[in-house]
Amino acid sequence: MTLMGYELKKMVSKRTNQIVLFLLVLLVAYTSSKTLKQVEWIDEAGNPITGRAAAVKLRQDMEPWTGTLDQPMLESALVRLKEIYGTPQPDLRPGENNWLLRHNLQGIKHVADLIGLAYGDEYEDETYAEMIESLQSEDLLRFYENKIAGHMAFLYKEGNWGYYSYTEEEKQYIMEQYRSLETPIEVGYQEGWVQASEQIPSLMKYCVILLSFLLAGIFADEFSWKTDSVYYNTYHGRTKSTVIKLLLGFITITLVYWLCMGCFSLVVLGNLGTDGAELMLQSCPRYWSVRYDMTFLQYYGLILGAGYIGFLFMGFLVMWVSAKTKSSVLAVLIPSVMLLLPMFLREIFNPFLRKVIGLLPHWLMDIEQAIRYQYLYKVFGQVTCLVPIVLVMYSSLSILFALLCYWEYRHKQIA
Amino acid sequence: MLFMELKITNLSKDFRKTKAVNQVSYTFHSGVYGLLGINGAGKTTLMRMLTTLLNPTSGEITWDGEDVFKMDKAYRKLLGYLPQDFGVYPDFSVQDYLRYIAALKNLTPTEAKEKVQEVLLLTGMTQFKGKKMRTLSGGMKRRAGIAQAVLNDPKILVLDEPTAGLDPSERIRFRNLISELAADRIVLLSTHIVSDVESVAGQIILMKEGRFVATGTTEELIAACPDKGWLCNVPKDEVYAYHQKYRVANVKTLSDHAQLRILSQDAPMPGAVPEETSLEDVFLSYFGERSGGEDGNGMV
Repeated sequence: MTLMGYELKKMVSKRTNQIVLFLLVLLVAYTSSKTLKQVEWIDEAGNPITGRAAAVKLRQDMEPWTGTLDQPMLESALVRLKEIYGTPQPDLRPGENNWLLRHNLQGIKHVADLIGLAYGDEYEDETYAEMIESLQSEDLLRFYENKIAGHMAFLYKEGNWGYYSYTEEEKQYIMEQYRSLETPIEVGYQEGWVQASEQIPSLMKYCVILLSFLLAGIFADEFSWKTDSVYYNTYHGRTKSTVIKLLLGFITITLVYWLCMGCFSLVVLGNLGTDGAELMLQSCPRYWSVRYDMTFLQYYGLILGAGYIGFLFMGFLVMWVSAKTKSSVLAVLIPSVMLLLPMFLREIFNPFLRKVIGLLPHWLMDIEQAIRYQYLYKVFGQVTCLVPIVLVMYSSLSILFALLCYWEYRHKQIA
Repeated sequence: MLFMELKITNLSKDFRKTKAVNQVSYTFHSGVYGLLGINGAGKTTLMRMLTTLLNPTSGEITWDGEDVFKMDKAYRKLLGYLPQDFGVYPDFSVQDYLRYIAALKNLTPTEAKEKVQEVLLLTGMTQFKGKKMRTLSGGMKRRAGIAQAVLNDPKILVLDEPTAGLDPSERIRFRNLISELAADRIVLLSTHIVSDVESVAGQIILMKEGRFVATGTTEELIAACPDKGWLCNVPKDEVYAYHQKYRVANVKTLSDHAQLRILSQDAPMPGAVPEETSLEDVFLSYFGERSGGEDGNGMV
């Protein structure tokens, strides 16, 4: 067996680590199953079905509403929506309880929501029927203009959150980005990507917390087992073996991350479908305010890439702290603190604090929020958005902490 | 050219305000060296510096004239170390543990396989090679400890309190093992149990408060000891008074009186019978009542 083999054996033979590995499997299974249940289809009798079967039905229903969202499609959609809302229904209650409305809407819901966002001042179910009733086909010519106007109002209309949060330069930068978005957009079924992107951040956060238990022991266990004196006294103890430990940490992070995210993605996309990979994010109402021309495939790739950088950063930080303190206790708390801290800080509205929160590593595991919330920074005189900054910053910090970890462990004094 | 010379020059180690090792100098050549001192004398700190686990505050350690900290791996290749607080990987078998340490000591898998068999045989652990380390008794762990220390056939073997916690038969076995290993290498044996050192060490170093207070062979140390051993019979009610006045190495209570072994330059009382001075007497002479008191085993 090689040194790597022995290090691996130390890790996997530990009872705590075996429990952690088991919990990781459970976590992936639970999150995947929960995500599949998010997709729902309701039949004429109001009976809901979820998961793969629902995705198949939904895809069929959405078929007529797939393609370029141009004037003809918008007009057809308006006719259909007027028909749905104009038909007397036994119990036309808004929202979740109205199964008949939901049944009728489910194929056209994505287009209906986009129209609602473009023409409703405050898009809500209660006012939606009235809005559709009053909307005329010539109004639809302004669909994309309205979209831009809505974003502009968000930034320049007093009372809106965006009005207070950005400088004039930043507002102009945002508007430029909105204007440069490709139109008309393509719409269609994209539930697999939407659900996977929505649920994967939670999976990442729980995984990184569990992962810290595996990583913290790599360096700290030599001290807790009191094997440090013999270990450091050997030929490779302060050199090759430290590199091997670091490498084991890297492999563990990589394997845990890609296996967990890979299995999740495979189950979710395998069941809900990969249709819509080439659709732009803006085709989904959830991403109405996104300023990037990015397909769902590119977006999911970004989520996975950023998450991996987040895992590397947290992982090397955990290992460095465990090597520094000779203990796992503090190290395993790091991911939890890093992920929980912004939740408390976010409640405080302060432009400067907002900028600080924007640089915290939790965004790497929540890239969806990072893209939807418009954090802007000025770098070398240029206004730029948060995502490239955190990607570059935390990639560099990951390397730095890996080097610090090696330095710390190699020069450890055993008193 | 020098050969097998481990030299320490003005070596010191400070821990905040405490001087654990204070300006010690010595040269080790092939042979067994017994480092004797009470708990807290600085033995472990000295050994940790000799094994590069701790950097000295000042001074130098050289191997054949070369600074051992600059030699780095090349020096550690020569080392074998059994720490006082010897920990193990709980879920490794003895054989796995030794093979792992062999790999850390840069032995090839073939060499490691051979060497592990050899050290298992040497330490009498062959039949326990499949046992998990966490299930081993204290004595067996120590044997595994010495086995790992000699895996690389070290030129410098450092054993810190190797017999601590062992029963008498294990201790004898251990001392014999050390004698077997002593050829062509420097063996530095630290202990506060005098009999362990006396039986195996060619040179003895007495360490007190971070300094070397006396060095030499057993005979040289005894010859240089200012006190002699006296056997005195005293009334039982006077034992305390003698304790106050002299160093008392031993008290034996008999039916009508007490028999004391007193360390003194001159006869402490009329009728005192002079006895041959032992290394224990030397130890007591240097370390006084504190010797052996801290762990309460009264081994002196």
